[in-house]
Amino acid sequence: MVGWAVALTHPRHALDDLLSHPVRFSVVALLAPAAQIEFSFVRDRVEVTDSMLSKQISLLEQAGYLKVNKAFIGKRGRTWLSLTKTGRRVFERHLAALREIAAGDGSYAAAQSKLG
Amino acid sequence: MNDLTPQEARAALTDAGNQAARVHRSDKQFRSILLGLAATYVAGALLVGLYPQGGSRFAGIALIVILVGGFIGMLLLLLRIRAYSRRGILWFTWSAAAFSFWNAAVIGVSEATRWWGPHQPGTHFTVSAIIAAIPLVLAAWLVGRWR
Repeated sequence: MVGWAVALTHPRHALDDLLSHPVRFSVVALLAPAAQIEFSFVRDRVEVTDSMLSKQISLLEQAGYLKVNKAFIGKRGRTWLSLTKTGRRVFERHLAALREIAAGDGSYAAAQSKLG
Repeated sequence: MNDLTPQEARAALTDAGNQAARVHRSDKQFRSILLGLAATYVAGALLVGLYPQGGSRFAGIALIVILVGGFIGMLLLLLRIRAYSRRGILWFTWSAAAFSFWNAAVIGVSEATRWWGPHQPGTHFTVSAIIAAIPLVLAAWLVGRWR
């Protein structure tokens, strides 16, 4: 049996599947420069409903990208979101891959269009 | 699934930049708190400088109003913050540390040398308070600079 390793050099291989979803990408992009952000701030800036955001946050939390903290001031509860170290690292890698793809000279796009 | 075109990648990068800018725009509350702290401290020091020895009833009441008003204002601003940027926290922490360090140094030296007493002109206290406020104003400017 003959085995060989194929070097995956295209930057798309460095893209994170979870961050390929536009809402999850926007949420993580918003959290990246922040220490922590309140749930409603993220909802308003990303322009999604509470339920949609909760669903995406659960997925990111399960993947270990995001941390959820609940704080109370009197009876008023506030939910704070922050990126974990893993989330930050994955996002940086995802951004680097995006930059590499964006910097392409267009040959990749041309090949894509030929493929239909 | 991840076969992005360069155009799509650029659009995603633009979105990431826009989201980051939104977080940095929210730093204006940090700036307001820093400027509020500096203004409260300098106003209080000016008042103490004008009435150094016991002062008057007016000076005492005005000082309490300035300090309590400043404290409540800053607390309200702090409670309104919905996004803490890493950069904002960094500048806030460094400026607060410099402010505290300067005040501690002035108090320490003044106590040790018995320089700071009722017999001294109040301008010394005011000048030291203005110097203490410099890092706060500088940080407020830096926090508001990158948006």
